[in-house]
Amino acid sequence: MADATKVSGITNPRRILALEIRSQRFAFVALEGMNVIDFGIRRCRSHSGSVQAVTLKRFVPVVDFCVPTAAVIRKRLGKSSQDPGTMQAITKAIRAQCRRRAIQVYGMSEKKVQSFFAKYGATTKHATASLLAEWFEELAWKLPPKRKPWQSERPNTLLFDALAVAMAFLGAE
Amino acid sequence: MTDPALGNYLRMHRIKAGLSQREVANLLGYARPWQVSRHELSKTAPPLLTALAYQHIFQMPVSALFTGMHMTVADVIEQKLSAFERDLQDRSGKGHMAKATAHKLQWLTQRKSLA
Repeated sequence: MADATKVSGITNPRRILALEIRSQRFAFVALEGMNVIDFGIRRCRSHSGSVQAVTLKRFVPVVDFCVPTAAVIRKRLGKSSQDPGTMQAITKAIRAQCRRRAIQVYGMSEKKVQSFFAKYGATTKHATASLLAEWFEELAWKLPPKRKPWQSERPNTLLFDALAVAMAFLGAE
Repeated sequence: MTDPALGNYLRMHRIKAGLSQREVANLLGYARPWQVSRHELSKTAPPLLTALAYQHIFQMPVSALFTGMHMTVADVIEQKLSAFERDLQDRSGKGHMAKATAHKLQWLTQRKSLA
């Protein structure tokens, strides 16, 4: 459970699913109150079939398990130069599945997430992840080491990105 | 909490403890982790001894670990007890079993006041 003294003033009356979508995978963190009930990273790469079908195959068990009433996704502005369209396909599949299950989908802009964590003095991705690892001790062991400029992003960073979106959403509510 | 409770919170407590399904399965005496997975997904209900083992591992009462299941059972039992009470009230004061019926009704009243 998140340390209530550190995350003061944030309450969560619902079970929410926060998602961080990338071009080949998505990370999710399910929160009930300030408890992490599930988290993980699912790959949606498809060599032959459609990305949407693979996404559904990975996403449905997640929703079946945590039965959320709200999903929070980071809003993307425009098309990314690194995304060959798969990120949009994954987002589309997830949004469609949420609609089918009457799960409200909320978008959180990057700016809102950044301004929320700036209040706590976390201005970089690693600082945000470190802060979240302090708040949610059950995820602390997943915290990746600080990335060197020449290194790629570790997959576990996605988990903290998803959690950051969730906390920014709850803080804004 | 406005959302209905999940069937069980085994995964949440396992994540909190940082244990893998395989490790929990080993602690429970299962050879493979899939039994733990099935319990977490509420595909099967664990037998009584396993439920007690979960209670001991996570130091949480069974009713808190299996909240959704516990609430379902409690609802059904409460409905049945209400029907039983109505049945007893219809019978009270009649026949040679009147004393026993009165005792049962008294127990039901006490039970309600304790809840």
